[in-house]
Amino acid sequence: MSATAPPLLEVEDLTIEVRGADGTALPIVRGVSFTVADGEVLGIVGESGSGKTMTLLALLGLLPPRVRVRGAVRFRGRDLLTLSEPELRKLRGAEIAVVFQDPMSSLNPVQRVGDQVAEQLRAHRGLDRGAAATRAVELLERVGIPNAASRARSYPHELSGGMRQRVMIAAALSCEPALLLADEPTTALDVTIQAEILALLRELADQLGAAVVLISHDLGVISEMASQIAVMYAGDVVEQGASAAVFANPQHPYTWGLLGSIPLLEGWPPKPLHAIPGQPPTVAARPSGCPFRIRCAHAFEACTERPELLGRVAADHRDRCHLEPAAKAAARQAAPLDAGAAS
Amino acid sequence: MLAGLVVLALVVALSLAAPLYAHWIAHTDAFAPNPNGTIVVHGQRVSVLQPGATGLGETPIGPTWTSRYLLGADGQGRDAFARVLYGGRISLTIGFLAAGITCLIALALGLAMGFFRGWFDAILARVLDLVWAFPVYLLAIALASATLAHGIPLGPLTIDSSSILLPTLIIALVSIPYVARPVRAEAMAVRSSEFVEAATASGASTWRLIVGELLPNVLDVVLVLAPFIVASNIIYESTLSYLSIGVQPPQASWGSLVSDGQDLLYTRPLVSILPGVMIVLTLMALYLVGDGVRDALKPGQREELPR
Amino acid sequence: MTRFIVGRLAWTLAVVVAITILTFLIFFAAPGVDPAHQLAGRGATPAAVATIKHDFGLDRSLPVRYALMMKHLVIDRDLTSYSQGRVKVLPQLVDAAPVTFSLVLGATLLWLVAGVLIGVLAASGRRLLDPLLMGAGLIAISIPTFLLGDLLNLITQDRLHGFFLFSWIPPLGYVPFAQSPWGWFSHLVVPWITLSVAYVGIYSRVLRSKLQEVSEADFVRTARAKGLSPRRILVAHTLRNSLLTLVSIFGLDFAGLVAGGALVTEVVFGLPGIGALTFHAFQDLDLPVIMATVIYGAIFVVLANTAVDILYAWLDPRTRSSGFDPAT
Repeated sequence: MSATAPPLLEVEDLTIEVRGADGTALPIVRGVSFTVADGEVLGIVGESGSGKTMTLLALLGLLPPRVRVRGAVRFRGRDLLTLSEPELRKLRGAEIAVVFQDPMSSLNPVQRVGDQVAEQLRAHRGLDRGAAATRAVELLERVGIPNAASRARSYPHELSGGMRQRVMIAAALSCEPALLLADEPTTALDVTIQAEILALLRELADQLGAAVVLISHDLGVISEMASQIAVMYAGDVVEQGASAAVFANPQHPYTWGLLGSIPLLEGWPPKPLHAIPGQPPTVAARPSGCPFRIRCAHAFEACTERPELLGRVAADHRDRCHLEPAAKAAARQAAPLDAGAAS
Repeated sequence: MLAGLVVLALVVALSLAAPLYAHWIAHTDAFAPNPNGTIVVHGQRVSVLQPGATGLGETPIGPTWTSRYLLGADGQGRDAFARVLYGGRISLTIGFLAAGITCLIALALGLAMGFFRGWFDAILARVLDLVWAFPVYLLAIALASATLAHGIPLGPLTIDSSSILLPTLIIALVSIPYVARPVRAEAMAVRSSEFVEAATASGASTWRLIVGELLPNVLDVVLVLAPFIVASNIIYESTLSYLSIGVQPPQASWGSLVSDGQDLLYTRPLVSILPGVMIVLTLMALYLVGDGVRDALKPGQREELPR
Repeated sequence: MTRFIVGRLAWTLAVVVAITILTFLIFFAAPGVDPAHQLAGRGATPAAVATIKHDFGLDRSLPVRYALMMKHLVIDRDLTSYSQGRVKVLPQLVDAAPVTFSLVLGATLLWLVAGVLIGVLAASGRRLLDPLLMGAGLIAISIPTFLLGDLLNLITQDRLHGFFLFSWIPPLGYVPFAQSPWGWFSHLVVPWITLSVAYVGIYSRVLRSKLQEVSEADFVRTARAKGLSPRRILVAHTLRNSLLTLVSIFGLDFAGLVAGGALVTEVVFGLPGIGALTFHAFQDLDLPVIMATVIYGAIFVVLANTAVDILYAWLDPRTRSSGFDPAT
């Protein structure tokens, strides 16, 4: 990438607010920033309700009109938030495509899967019906659907979950987008299928040179694919950086908790799994200051102030935590997770 | 919802007050023909029925805007407004009474079908489907022609053919599927739920299961449907009475008043239109109340309006 | 699919037989019914009653009487109307059917187009348009057909008949299409409107709420994420899934009306259709005619029911493979 060309995707200070019942604005996502370069994979990880999916929908302008979005989402230098609906429509599906979580409900139940792949080609590439159908069959073949020509005539309910997600991927990649957004693409699938779908996603993205924003609650999934990582909690990015750095030297207690809850298959006897106690707060009940402090074993007075996102261990490895980096190793040693997790 | 309740309460109160109005305000008997009656309007004594413009027939007096013959007279010289109030009593009585009967029978049927399932349910379900799809007025005519001449003998009791119970029963009967089908579906769902399984496993009796577990759960369905059933019953009643299949003279409902006033449609349209307006107002109020009840109890439930 | 259709047809046949039995029981075995007197109509002579007693075998057992009745109706096709000079019943039905078909077909077209249009407009919710249209819909379903018919008659036949908009509307009655297409059309316009108004209200209400429900579905979000045009999303995704609901109620409504449910409109506008035939038979207590129209109506309803099931299976691929029956 030359120094003058803008990055593929640059999200700056993205804030998403809904109006509460009493008319006050409730921020769902607060000041999220990240950059995705061509061909790069960014993983966004967090529990449900942390604002991951909202962030993704905001990138495409797919949030309902009553939701307010502020900040900037620059795609190849153009701010998507300022684009009109018809301009956005030209980008959706063509330059930026999405694979959603549940392939059953995300596919139209009364439309043949071949048509669901083809309609995007017709909208963006101007292909006629026949050419689009032929291309759709090729795409279905490419995502590993056997007998693609006859399968194209099937309806979603006639396919297995894994096959359905392959159809979603075929549709998403049909116009060779530069950016693929994947929202929990494997969560609704059987564990045995998950790895296949992830491998397929990675392989196709590599072939097309597409950048990927992968959203998951599963740090294992993220670690397999992402070169960059952002950890979200209650609408905040609490830690972000290169995945190697984050995994090697996690800075936020919440990240420690996520790492501790991944089953490790090495070593015997297996290490005990740890759960983070409590539930992530709802938007309306988010505590002031650091939102994680009520579940955090290391919280102290300063945590009633909202911490800044600072790169203290390295400029490109930032976290929102008041603990001094020097004190963190010891703190994690003393209570690798939260105090309550031992029970 | 609130507007609907207010209008409904107003209509009911007006209808209940019919005898009071007739006696104390209009000083009239709403049922006795009064072809030779006269009243004083603007100091002049005029007869209630005046010769028609063509010399043929008679035209009743129009609205006087005074306590007597407020909105004019009908074809037999009776106070049109007082008759509309009396008509409301009949229409509302039949509407609500028939809805009550429908709901009770449908509840029993639906619960039994949902509980016992099997062939009992299979056969009844098909019959209900059929009645549901069958044109209401054709069915009502069939029932009326089989019963209207002689009434219905029920053991020692006979429902007289001029009784308003007859149209009430006919209307109640044709409405049953609209309630029984959803009740059955809900009862089926509850029947196979875990808490009923648990009650069965702990040895609860059939009766206890139906009344204790199923009934409270399907009651919502009936409550949501009830306002719509009352509304459709009022449509049925007025239509049947309009066709002179429903309420028989000397009783009169809104429907038969519209029908009676038809001869005067081109000279005194108000006699026919006023009861019609009452029907429309009552129905709108009932639909609004129904929407409100549904949104409060079961936002997802869709009413299948009978028609 | 073939097996599905054959199964449905066999079921249909069974139901038709059941209906004839049920109708027979209503007319001949209900408590308090004196079939011979009722069949003969009002003021029949004792001789006529005796003839009927013999014809229908009223002194025989119920099953035999049923068989005789069916023989008259289906095999000999000579079931006669007793009160109107022994006119055969079936030709009356055959004459009345085209009138009802004309009425119902036109009204159907009108209410489908208007109902879908209004439903879509209301659902695509401009701030003022939605409550306005739904308010109009509420009024539409609250006006009984007979009242609306009377009012429209009052306006177009009397009060405003001189007004150029209505002056072309002919007096009440029916003109067959073959005789004069314009006469057919002009006689039916007001009845079409009258019959369709309530259905426009119902269909737009149902479609609107269904559209709103479907537009929240994940697959509509997918369609938007594909960058499809709003029109394409509405037609291929939202509307296509929502219209399934209307198909099932439409089949039954259409059948119910053809079967005689348009009775009120026919009576109000003096159209000699199936419903009016039944109604006038009722006024004369002419039981053979009523029985025949009821059986005709029932057969039509059941056939239409079957057609809807098959159509539904064809439209919704999910029901086809699972053998799911939308009617239950």
